[in-house]
Amino acid sequence: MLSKYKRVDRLKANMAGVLDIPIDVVLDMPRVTVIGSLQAYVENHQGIVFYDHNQIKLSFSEGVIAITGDSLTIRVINLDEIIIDGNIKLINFEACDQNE
Amino acid sequence: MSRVTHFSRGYVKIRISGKFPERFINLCLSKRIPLWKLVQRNNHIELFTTVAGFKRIRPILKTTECSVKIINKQGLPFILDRMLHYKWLFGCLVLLILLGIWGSMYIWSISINAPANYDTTEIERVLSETGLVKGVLRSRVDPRSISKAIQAEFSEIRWADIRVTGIKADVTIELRPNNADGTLTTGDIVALRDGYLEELIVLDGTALARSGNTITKGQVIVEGKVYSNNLYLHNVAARALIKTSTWYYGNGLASAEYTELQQTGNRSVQFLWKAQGKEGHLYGQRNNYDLYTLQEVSYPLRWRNISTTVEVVKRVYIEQRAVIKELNEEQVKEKAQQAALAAALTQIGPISSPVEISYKYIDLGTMMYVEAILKAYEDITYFSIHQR
Repeated sequence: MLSKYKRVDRLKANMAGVLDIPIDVVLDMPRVTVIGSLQAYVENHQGIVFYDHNQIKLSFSEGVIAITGDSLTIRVINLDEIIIDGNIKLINFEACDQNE
Repeated sequence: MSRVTHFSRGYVKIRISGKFPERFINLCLSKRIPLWKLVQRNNHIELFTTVAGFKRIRPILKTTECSVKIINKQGLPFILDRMLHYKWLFGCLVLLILLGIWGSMYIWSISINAPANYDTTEIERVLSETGLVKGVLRSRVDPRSISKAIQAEFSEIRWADIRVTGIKADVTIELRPNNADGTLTTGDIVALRDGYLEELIVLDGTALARSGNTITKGQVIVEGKVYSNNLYLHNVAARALIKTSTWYYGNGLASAEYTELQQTGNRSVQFLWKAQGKEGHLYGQRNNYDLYTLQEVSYPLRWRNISTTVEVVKRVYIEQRAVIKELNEEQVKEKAQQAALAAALTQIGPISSPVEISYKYIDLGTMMYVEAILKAYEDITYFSIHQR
């Protein structure tokens, strides 16, 4: 049985598909752009959860994005976008339930 | 662009240390405080923020139990602030700039460009009378009135040009082209021979030809008369910067067959005496050859410093024979071409500079006729004095 939030999201995703609207805009999901292993550009984040020179965890609507690497620095950070420089090794999505 | 904005408004590098630096960053973002270049060190985070942003940081620090320390201040406001510490230096700099601006409002140098051997002391007098002296305000100098004053004072001056550039005034004087007796020689610039007018810049007079025109011998290129709205004003000595080119022609003829003289190797040597136009055989072999070349060496008879009119002559006759040779078409062409070019080059003037050579070929069967056309840059004009 799907939760109420999941059903609404699925409906939004279907509507976005019909209307040709980018799905990340409709669902307020993060968009991650990676340039090699040198830079990561994350849009629609909701703040920093954890910051270390080896790992940066960013909050988003459905969980956390963990960017792991070496010598990680935040070049620019705004309300909804962040550019991370360094030697990026791993990008991990840690989803959590909306009901929690 | 943001770098320029940050620099102009000033920014600081700060160190944040405390329990919840991530929360501090999030709160800064929510309050739209710009942050950039965040680097995590051992137990703290170093980051850049604007001066305006830094002022809004304090309440967030209390909430997040963090402390801040300014590491570095950068940008234009801080540079200016540092400069203001050296007030006397800054003041001197401003004073120097003001002095420069004030000084550039005056004329400090006057140079007179006049023909050589022309005494400029009188010109200087007129200039000072009309207000052009060292230390005068540039705005007070009226070049037109000064020029008129100079022309009115000196009849031999055709025109005077006054140019004020920066702190310098240049006065250029042009004299009338007078004869020794004071009369004005006027005349035209006329073509000496046919040619092509490459470039024409008229300095005095009226142009009757244009750049790119073909000119003929005797044609007036620049007329020594001045007109205004087609009305004749006066005569002048025509002057112009002219670049002309002209053509020289040379002919050459060559045949496929030609006779070459070759030595047979036979020779005969004869010794004669010679005195007062008379000569007589002494010994040796007389000449028996029909075709020969002659080499003659004379030995005057002398003893110490006493010389006689008698001399002994040695004549060597070298026998030759005529051999008929044939040239191929290319060789005939080349021979005729060389002859034509040599003929054209004999006519060319000493200050000409040949630029282009072309040939015309006419095949006459056994012979080849070549005409060389040599184009050269040359001044083919002369000054023709007006007849009175």
